[in-house]
Amino acid sequence: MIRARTAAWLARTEMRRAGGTLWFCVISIAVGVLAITLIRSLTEGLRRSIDDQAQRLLGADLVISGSEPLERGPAQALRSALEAAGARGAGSVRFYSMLARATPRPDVRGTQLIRVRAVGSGFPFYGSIDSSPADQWPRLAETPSLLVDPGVMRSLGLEPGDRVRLGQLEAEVLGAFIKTPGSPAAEFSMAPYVFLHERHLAATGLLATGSRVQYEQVYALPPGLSAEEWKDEHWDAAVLGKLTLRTSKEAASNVRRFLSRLSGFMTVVGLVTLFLGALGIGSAMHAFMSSKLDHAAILRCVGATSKDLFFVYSLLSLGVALLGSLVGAFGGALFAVALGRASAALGAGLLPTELALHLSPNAILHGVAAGTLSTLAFTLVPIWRTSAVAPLRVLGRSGDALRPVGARRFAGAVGVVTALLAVFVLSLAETESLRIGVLFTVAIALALGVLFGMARGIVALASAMGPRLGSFHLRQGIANLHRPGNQTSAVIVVVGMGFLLLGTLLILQSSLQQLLSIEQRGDLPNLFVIDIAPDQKDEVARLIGEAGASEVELNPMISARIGRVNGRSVDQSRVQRDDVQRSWEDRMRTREYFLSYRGEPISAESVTQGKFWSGRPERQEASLEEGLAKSLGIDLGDTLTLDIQGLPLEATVTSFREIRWQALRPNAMILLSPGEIESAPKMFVASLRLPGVEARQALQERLVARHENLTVVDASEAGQTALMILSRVSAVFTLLGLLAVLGGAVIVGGAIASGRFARQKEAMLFKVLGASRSDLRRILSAEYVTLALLGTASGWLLAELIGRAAIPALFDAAATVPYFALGALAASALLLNTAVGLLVGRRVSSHTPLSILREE
Amino acid sequence: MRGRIEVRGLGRDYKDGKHSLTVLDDINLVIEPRQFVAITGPSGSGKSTLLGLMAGLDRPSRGSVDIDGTSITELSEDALSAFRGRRIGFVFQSFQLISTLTALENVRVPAEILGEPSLAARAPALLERMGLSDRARHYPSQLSGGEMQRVALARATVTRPAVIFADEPTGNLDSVAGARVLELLLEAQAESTLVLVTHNAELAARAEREVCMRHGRIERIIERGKSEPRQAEVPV
Repeated sequence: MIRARTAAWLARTEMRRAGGTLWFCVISIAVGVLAITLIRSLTEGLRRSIDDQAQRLLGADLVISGSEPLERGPAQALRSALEAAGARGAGSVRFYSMLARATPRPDVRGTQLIRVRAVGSGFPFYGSIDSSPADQWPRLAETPSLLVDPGVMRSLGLEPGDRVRLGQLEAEVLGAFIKTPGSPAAEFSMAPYVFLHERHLAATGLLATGSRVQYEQVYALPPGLSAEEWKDEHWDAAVLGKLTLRTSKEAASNVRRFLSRLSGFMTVVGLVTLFLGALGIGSAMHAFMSSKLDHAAILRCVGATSKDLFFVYSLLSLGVALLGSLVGAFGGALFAVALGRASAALGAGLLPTELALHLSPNAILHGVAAGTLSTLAFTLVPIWRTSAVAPLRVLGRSGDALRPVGARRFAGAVGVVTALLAVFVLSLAETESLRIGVLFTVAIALALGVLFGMARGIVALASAMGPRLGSFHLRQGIANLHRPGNQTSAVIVVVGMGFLLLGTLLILQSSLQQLLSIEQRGDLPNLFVIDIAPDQKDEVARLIGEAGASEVELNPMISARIGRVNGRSVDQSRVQRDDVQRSWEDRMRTREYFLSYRGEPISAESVTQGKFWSGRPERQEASLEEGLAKSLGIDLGDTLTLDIQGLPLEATVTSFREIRWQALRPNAMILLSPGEIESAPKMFVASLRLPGVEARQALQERLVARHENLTVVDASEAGQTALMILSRVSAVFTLLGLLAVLGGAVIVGGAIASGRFARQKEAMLFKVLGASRSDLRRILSAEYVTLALLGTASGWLLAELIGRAAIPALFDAAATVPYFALGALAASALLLNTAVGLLVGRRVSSHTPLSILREE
Repeated sequence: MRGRIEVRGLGRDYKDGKHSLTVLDDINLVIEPRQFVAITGPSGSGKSTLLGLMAGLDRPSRGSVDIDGTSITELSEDALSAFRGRRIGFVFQSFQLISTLTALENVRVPAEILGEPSLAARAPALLERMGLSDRARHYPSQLSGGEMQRVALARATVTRPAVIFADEPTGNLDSVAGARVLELLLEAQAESTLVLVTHNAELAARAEREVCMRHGRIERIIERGKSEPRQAEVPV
């Protein structure tokens, strides 16, 4: 075996005069590593920021919460245990309601959907809630008063000292709280918060039975008492009492869950960029190693074995991989720090904490490892092929005759398997999800397979059609697509994948925007009235009718839990204790449901199994949403024992339904047939469509003026909040997508550079035979424009196919293809890739034949 | 004495799909140590194929090649590479220098692969003997054809091989450069067996034995005995 020092020396000498190709390799992998390091640095920074500020975010160490007051039963036992241990506690109640100006003003709206948080003295135990004017927080307890979100101040035109109505309570507005990052006031909510002292809560009259209220008791624990240990110890008692325990480590769990999903998606986009880079390296190294076949054959003649050469060229590849990965990893980590401020702006109103981004050694290490592994995996086959070169090549024979076709195919298959294995391992390591790892690997394999297939088709077409073209330059340019040493497949795959990624993101973004633009969609209800008491039902219906609303529906809603299935309690022992990690299925087991009843199915649902009752069956029947039934293991014919505010009600499951939630029709995961359930305590929900913001605000004000307890949700406004989140998330994705496209252009440059040598020989001969530099440039332009065009078109075609297939399946809505944006993107990609091609390829036309001959 | 080559029943077929083409058949030949043997014949007669098989660059379809008692046809790929590195030197018509190595590095590389620093240390002296001391740091693209072939010759001798195989070593050179290369090759023969492929009859006439090939077989062998170096008379 060759000595390591000699191998390193040979690897170093092989890098001589290969600067262009190797630098492109370095940049290719650097771009991919930059993307994943940037994402990891950002998400780690965010998580760390939340962790560091968790106690102040929650304002406490531990929270007990439930849907009923915590003064009785198991809740009281837990509270007593904590208080006996020396914990300081304060009450906290949250619910949605309407805030109204006490005296309407014509120039501002009169009511606003808000989320009330009524807290007891002592809260927050950590950090503080600042206000404008300053020092208003302690005054909340003194008189019926509120501190409101600055947005509510603006929309209701409020000034400190103004009077507002919250339910039956008329209160003074003390001012606006300041959303200081890292304080409880910065908590994200779909409706803006309003703070009230719990002392004045009863006076609002909003805590009627059946209202959707979250009761909490927050605690600061004495030194030496661990919140996590206490939670573990009392978890079972809490579950039995239908209570949830949360520690400060689970603070902002909704934001953390959102971040976790977002970082998962971002990581996937980053991985695509990384693998585009690895593919670029694979392609560039293939061309580079092909140019090294003669050297390898000479080295084999003078005593080097195949293993020696594999060692030498692996060292070379490792050097390139490490250099590229280090450049990318440090670049990504520094970029993340630089992006700190921009990210804070993107996250304003969404993130509860200040972003503290520092150089992350973990992200750098991950980036270097990912870049190195992917490079080695993608360059394995070119290195292998070159190392196995027959020494006979020095006599002018390839030696391929010695190597059967089967062996070459085997080498190709090993390369594909190794590359896919690397894709799987890295996606598993980066996303930490087996499911996403498998799905991602399959998706990458499919996309690459389809793009390679398209590239092969294009090469075959170029071979068949090229000679028939009239123009000499076009004929030669197109012929370059199928000549030996062509990089057609590599360029089409890389350009296509880049466009596929960004194109799919654009289609997804555009489709979601269309879906959330509720105001523009005449088929959807846009106003929801919640918490309508039975005795208010008729008058609410009359007011809605008078406003000229259409699509009006009024449905009963009853809060309940699933007590037993076939006499057995729902298994809650496996429920994830960490609120951040708790899955959708876990929540199904513990949550409170709003169930409803009616006599027939509606258009926004379809029965997937069983038979829906007609009218009013003799026994109480139930129809479940199919996902709920699956996650709880409920079959048709099972008996559910529902716990309706303490009273049991049995129902037989007779059908499963698929519900189209995006139709915005009020529906229920558990739907009952009319019967015994009708006598249960209930509230009603009304849905309606009323065009025009002013008309909806006027109706809201009339409804709230008549019945203070009503909550009115304008879906268009909620849609706007979701659109705001979407636009910020889209900005992050677009940045990553652009990075992929830019990386793609670099990779195209690399691929073209590595194929340049083959072109140089041809160009030299053309020059000898009388071709001018202009002729050569026109031939190259024809080649590169065609390549960029075909790559872009392939990516666009795939993106549109995927978008049109996936969006209806995911969102039950037609895909909206933003042709203008895609066209602009395609034009940019075309220009960028052609420019890169010509820039890199210019050397082919600008040199004298002799200089190329000498180089050879 | 090293450098004895014994070829027995050597044959080589190439397969092209279903068809098989025999390019070499029934070759039997013994070359004694430090002998200068020329293999001649028209294009396509099989002389380069024979050289490739004797040098272990290719595997025969049948027969064997022994060098100093080692049957190189039975060696594994790795063992064969090591054998070539230690016992065989090559000089090719198209020089086959590594373009990314300087002249000195090209000469050193076989010794470096063997891991023999003492042999690698011979490189500067060999270059000096080839009259290339001032070109040691030049890359192949900066050398003339004659200079490149002298670098190749220095590389072929750096490991003190038992046999030097040369494939048309003067084929790409002018008469003066060719004569200089041949003179150096004959000097190298003092230490190694020299097997040279050429279709140049006058060059072949300098060899002690001339193996004439035709249609993949040995047509005849001309025995001449050892000749004295005659620098000025070398026809190229």
